[in-house]
Amino acid sequence: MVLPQWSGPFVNAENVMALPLPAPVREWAWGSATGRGVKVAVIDSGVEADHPRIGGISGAVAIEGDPSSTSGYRVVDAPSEDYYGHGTACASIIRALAPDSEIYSVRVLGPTLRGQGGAFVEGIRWAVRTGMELANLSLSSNSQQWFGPLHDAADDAYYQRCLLVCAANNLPGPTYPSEYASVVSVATRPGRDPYGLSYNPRPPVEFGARGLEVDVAWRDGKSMVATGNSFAAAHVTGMAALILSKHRGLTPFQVKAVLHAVAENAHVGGFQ
Amino acid sequence: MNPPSPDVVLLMSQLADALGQAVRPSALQDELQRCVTAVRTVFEAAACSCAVLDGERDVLRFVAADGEGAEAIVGVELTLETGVAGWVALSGQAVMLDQVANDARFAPLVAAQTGYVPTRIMAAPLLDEAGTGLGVLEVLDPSDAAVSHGNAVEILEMSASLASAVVRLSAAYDALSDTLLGSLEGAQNSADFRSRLMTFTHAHNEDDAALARVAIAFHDLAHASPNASSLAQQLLSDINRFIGSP
Repeated sequence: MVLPQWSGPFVNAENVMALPLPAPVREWAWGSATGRGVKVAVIDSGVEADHPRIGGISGAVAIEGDPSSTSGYRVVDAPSEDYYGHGTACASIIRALAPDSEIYSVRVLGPTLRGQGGAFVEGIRWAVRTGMELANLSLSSNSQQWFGPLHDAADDAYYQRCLLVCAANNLPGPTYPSEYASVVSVATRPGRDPYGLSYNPRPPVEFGARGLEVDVAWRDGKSMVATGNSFAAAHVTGMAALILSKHRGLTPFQVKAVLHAVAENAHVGGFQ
Repeated sequence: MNPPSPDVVLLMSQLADALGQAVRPSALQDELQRCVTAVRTVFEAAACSCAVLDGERDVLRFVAADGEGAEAIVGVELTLETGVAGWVALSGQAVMLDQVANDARFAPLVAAQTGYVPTRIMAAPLLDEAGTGLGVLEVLDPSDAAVSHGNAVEILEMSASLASAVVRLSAAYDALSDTLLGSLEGAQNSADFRSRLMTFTHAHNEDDAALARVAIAFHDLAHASPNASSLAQQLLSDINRFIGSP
């Protein structure tokens, strides 16, 4: 099966030096954690809350255009529905890894998975304002117009302790905000282990996770098998939720360091 | 009102003629038809089709097909949120679905419309330089033997890449043709013609802008001197012969 773009560094990931966290490091990182108490925003096409594989979510909003507001957008309460299925797919992965996490749907995409860059920025800002500790962004913009506003929003999220987990685009070309240093950038790596993780010492894409032929929930109560960096990002969001639920209050850079330490190609003491 | 000089009109008509041989709709259609026929043969498939995206309307239009249901599918338009083809165009990700009836992306009504409902579907995206979806190449029921070696999706992706080059080239030349015709139409004189071409160099679409710069270069060359004009005409004649050669 063909891997998406950006996956090359994870095919034979080179070894990197890990921080000496207590061993076994995965047990220390998230052993017995369920994601309880961690608020996770899924910024996407919506989430079908009553899907059997989702089992309810903690809240749902949508970003709409509003010419009367200074940002041009407003946040409204929204039904827990998905316009396409993509957000539900990502939420189902997060739910599978971190079953007790509190998932909030932030709908910024329409039925053709297209959205306004401004709505995307506003979705991130909503997640920061409302105290989300994690936001899954399995979407990106390739527009230079939104490079600056997205960069500012990503920095604010970083400073306010909201970790943005961003999928690199499946397609070649620039991909924002996943190329920013303030976020956790993810692409698909080979393998089918949902907790599999690799680190790429040559960014911008830093982490590789499962995104190949993933069984995911879809709209209208359905499921399907799909490939894409979107689903790799959701796996990392799930792992980050576990880390944050076990180690409350970690900052985004600390969570990234723990993810780095649990990567399979990271070894304490050197490049073995 | 002074029309553009005969030299300029001659140059532009030669350029349009040269490009026209590469871009006339039947040429694109023929190329894509040859592509789907070949891909169907390679995969020993029941059918193969190619759909091209109309980005303004967010619909995929099937423009070439071979095999089962081919006549029925050509001309069909699907919204981007419909079917396996829509998923592939949106995600930019190739797929192979062995039991497509069980897949949430499958649009059984569209399949039924063609009179052929497949079991297995392979599909790969046609992409532009920036990675944006231009269309989809879809194979219905490739044989077990054809997909057994594990590289079937990669081969289809390569075919889709070649098909996308044809679609991109055609679109680029169409844009140049539109630029030239739009500039010639209603131009008051040669300077006005150049001015109209200049407006295209500020187009948001980089392809349009680049092509307009080519047109301006020919226009300016034609006015530099009689020798330069001859050179421009010779160059276009050579291009014409090159494109027209087998």
